[in-house]
Amino acid sequence: MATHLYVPDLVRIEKIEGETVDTKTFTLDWVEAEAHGRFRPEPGQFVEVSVAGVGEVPIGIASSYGRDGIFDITVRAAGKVTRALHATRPGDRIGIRGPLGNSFPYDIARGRTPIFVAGGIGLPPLRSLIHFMLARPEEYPKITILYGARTPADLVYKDELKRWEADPRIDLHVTVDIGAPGWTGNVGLVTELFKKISPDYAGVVSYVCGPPIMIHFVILTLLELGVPETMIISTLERHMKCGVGKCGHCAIGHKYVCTDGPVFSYVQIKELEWQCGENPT
Amino acid sequence: MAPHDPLTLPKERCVEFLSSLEIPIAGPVSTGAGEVEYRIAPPGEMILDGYVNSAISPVRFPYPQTQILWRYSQNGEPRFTPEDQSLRMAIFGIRSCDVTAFRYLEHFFDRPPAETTFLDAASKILLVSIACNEPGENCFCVCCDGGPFLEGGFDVQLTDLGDRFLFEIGSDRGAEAARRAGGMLKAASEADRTRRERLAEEALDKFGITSHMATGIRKLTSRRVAEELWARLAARCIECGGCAFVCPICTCFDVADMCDGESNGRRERTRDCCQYAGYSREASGFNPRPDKVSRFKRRFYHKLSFFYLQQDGRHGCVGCGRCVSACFGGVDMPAVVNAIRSERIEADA
Amino acid sequence: MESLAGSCVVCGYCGSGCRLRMVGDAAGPVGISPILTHPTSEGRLCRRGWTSHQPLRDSGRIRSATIKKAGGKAVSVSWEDAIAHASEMLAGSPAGATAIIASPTSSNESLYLLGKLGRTFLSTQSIDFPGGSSTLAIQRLMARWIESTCGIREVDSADVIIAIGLGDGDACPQIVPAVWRAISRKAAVISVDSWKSDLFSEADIAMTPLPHADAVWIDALGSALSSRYEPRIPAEDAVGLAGIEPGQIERAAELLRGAKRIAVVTMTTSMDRLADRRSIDALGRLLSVLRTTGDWLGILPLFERSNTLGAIDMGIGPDLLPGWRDAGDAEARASLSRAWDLPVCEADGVGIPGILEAGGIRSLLVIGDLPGLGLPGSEELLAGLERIPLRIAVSAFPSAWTDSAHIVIPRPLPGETEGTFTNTEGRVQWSRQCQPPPARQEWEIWAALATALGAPWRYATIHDLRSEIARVVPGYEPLAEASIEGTGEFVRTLWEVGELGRRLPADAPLPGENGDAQSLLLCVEQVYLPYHFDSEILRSPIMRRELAILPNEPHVLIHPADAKEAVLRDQGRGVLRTGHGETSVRIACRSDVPRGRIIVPDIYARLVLGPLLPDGASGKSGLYAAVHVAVAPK
Repeated sequence: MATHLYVPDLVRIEKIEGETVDTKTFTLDWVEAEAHGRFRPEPGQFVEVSVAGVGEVPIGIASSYGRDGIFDITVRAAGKVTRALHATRPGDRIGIRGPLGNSFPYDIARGRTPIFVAGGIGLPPLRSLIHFMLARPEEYPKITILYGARTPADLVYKDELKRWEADPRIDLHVTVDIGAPGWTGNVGLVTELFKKISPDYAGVVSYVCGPPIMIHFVILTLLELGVPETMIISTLERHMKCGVGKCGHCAIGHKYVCTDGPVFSYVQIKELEWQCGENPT
Repeated sequence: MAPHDPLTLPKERCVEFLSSLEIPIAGPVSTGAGEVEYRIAPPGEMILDGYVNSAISPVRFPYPQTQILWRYSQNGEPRFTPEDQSLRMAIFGIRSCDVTAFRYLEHFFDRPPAETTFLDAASKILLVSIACNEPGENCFCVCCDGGPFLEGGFDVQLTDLGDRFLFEIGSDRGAEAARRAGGMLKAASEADRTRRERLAEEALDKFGITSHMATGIRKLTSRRVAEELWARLAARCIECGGCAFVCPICTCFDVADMCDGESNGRRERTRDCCQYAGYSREASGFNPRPDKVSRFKRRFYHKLSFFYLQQDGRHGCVGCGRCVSACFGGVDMPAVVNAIRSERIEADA
Repeated sequence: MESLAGSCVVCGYCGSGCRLRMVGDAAGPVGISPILTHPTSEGRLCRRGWTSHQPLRDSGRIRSATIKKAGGKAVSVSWEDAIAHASEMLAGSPAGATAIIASPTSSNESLYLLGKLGRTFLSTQSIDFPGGSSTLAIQRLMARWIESTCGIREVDSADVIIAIGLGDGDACPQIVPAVWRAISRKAAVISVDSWKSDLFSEADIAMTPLPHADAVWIDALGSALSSRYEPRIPAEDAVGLAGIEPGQIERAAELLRGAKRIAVVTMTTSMDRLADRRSIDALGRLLSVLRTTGDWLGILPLFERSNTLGAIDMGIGPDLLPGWRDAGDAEARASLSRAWDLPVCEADGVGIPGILEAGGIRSLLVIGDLPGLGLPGSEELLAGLERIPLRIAVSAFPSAWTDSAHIVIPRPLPGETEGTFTNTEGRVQWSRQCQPPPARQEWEIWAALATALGAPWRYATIHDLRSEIARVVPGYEPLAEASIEGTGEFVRTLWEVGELGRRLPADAPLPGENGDAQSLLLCVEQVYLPYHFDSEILRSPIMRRELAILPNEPHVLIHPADAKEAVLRDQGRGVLRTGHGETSVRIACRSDVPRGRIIVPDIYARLVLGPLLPDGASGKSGLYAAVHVAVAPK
């Protein structure tokens, strides 16, 4: 952590890649070696991205993190900060606080079948864990990825999806809610994709990320298929402002999504729901 | 801290004592409108007795409603400079409930990752409290383990014995203040101590409001509060935010950037309120608490649930009574706890 | 961090007139403290008051005067240069060629001097403020039928409250505790509104009469109460004509017959409640019946903005002079001329719609935000403004209007303004300056402009100005006392007035009169959408966040069950159709909307109703219709 909880460190935008009409991937590198040295993210953690004079927004780290210090964030332009981010150019400096939050439990996936279920802009946070597992073939020899988006144009990482398609270690299935001319792939909800695979669900560990309504239905499907409650891992979406458990906006019950989460198992989600009477997903 | 025997300070030497601290003193000062507010002022302006409390808690000194977190300048490379607003000072005449709140806030902001913005400011403040012989009409600290007399948490606790204060030392910093006072302080007699105990006991009987916090906590935590009751209570909330802004232990804040010219600016935080519809709404438009009832429940869950109590060391109310005067609909803490307890709201009675 | 010395500020939002204290230091305010001993607020503030220190910290404000040079580029100038430039441009304007849109959030001192400047050196009677016409209508009623109004806290002790058009209370929140306290004391509440809001979830009777049908239910209630009341519409007919439930009139009459203390509280900005002469007259006659019932009758009109009442008192309104005198009245003009030692303009004046539509206006001075700009369909409004050759803005924040203005002068915010404000009860309170304004006080701007135009007036301090107001404006005599600066206050009294010569909106057709009966009744109502009001204190980051939730696009409100029957989705779009045409709008479901109705927020009335009505009936100047429409999903 930085010495001051709220003061960001500087990063330089190395590269900006357009993903969809409203989504871009930014490749970032540290300006100061000291900040680089402090930054040791685990898959699933997030950063608070600052555009000075505009504001700050929490974004999941979308790539693995190596010694080079370079990492990706994928941002959909939804509010004023994300729109300001979209207006930056390579070489610009922005502020970063992090890594923040907990991370995906990956040790539990050793010897089990990892299934990633992503909806829309939910793929980027999962990508950090996908990269992590792909880099460790002995521990995670095979993974399954189910990915759904609204339309073919809303799919992110289109080039990488092609590489994943060709990768013998990855069983990738992609679907869209609404097809488009030229789209020959699946059309339907992401939950439909479970029909394409037939793992031993008792041995599955699933990582789910996407909009709240999608998470809700995917969890129901996984439970129906017999995935153990402890092996359903999801991220929860809340309005995270400070990222360090102080400002209160992201609280669900007595948990703060930014520090106790954003990653929760279904067991934890159920417990939270019982405790506070709110539906966390 | 080594235990200290209680001392006494003659009231007429109180100004002299405060001056001996040689730091800015905030204390109860008349607003001219029949109230007091805590303000940094010359010790001679401080009111020593006869006041209840201020509309805004003196915890605003370490945790103001709006506060600059850092400034930036963007001439070439952007630069972020933290704003140090801490001040070595004393709060004189702070009430027991607010001392309890102050310590709660320290606990809250110290939870990892610790927030130095608050902790630095708080750590420089000496708390010289005056115990409450006469609770105010909205006070219910007695139900909330927040007063009227404190057993700890203060640096110095004064008890009004008429012409003098009983002077209890509660920390090393309090002991240092006593050392500075030197000859102004005399050892308290047995009679002084007995009188303090009697005043503390008598104060317990003077409260007009009772709030059965334990029952509220039990029923809320076990989810035995009817949805219908929540809906009726929430109907009376006009989402003014007053309960959160006056609450000395509400911590939520919003963050906003302000530009000062082309290349300079600041990031500020402003205390926020969970009753506002925009509070938990995300940029995507998704709002986990889109309706007033769920937000109202949320506020009291935070204040009263046993899970929070476990995490924060105490429940979320010190009984200062400020929300009683701030609330438009009469759905303040004691009213809601009593509604939960009796399963009806006041108008049904 | 010290409390700003002498920082007692009157909140700049609604007519409640809450006092609050700005907390901060030399670097500016960092927070707000309520004032427990303040008689109206008693230590309660609403979300606007609680965040009103934030706009003072906002660096996006207009901090310096600007003049638009040839080519359209705005350049910063000193405020003195801006005044000099404005006076050059305004000098010698023919009578009636200048118009002023004043702000109901300005101080009495600013409004008085602006009116004086306008009616003398600027030679105009076209002086108005947003919301002025509806306020005048209710004021006219008060002046004719009642001797005094009651205070907010007196409503506490009523045993029956008739609450008209209060909505959820958010437009004037200090009435809310009075209503709740009365309910806690077992008082009965008769609520009359377009729907049953939370505030009246515990009302004994919740009537939801149709728009423009107030005369019907009031008449029915009056005749049910007293044989002295000239029966026009029998109670049983009111059910059909006014759209209220059977038995409600009789039950209301029963409650009122047994009442000892009756309070009538009415919002003055509800466009459809009491917006026509018939309803206002009916309410007046009802009040005269209620006066003979029980021991006490209090009426409390609620005004929308922090100084709406003061604006009227100071004579801000077309053809209105200070002290409620009609500018068409030669004697009134002559007496004012004597007081001012100057001739008062004799040209006819027009209100805001006339200012924007007439075409004869050559220069326009606007104080504060122009409500409506920034809303869908406001391009037309802006285009109308831009046809005026000289545009002067006195504003705190940049907007499409200030972008278009030739001269812009920074406006002080609450906390920077010094002066008095008259709340909804008539309570006149001093608001102190706790940080200096970016340029000058508003009254100083008018004084400087007047001097530049050749006025002999010299006001060394605001006290000089207050002494003059105390002499000229009836009811404001105590304003001369120095003690008003501080926590001093007085309640200004009502006085006898004659007819005001004010043109009220023409009678709207009663429902059913316009023939094209179809499935649902489309009603225009004032729905509280705060962003369409001019209020600088809504510019705090927190209030902006809250207001961003409200859909800023034409929409209609409908009961979820009606929506379901018409296969409409909440937040989806639907098509409304009459025999004249159709229009597509956003649908918002609200369970408190009465069944069988669709409600259009008044600010969208023109956009939504326009295509549905015959040509020329689209309610351009406050004439709103209730029409039957067919609805279908888009």
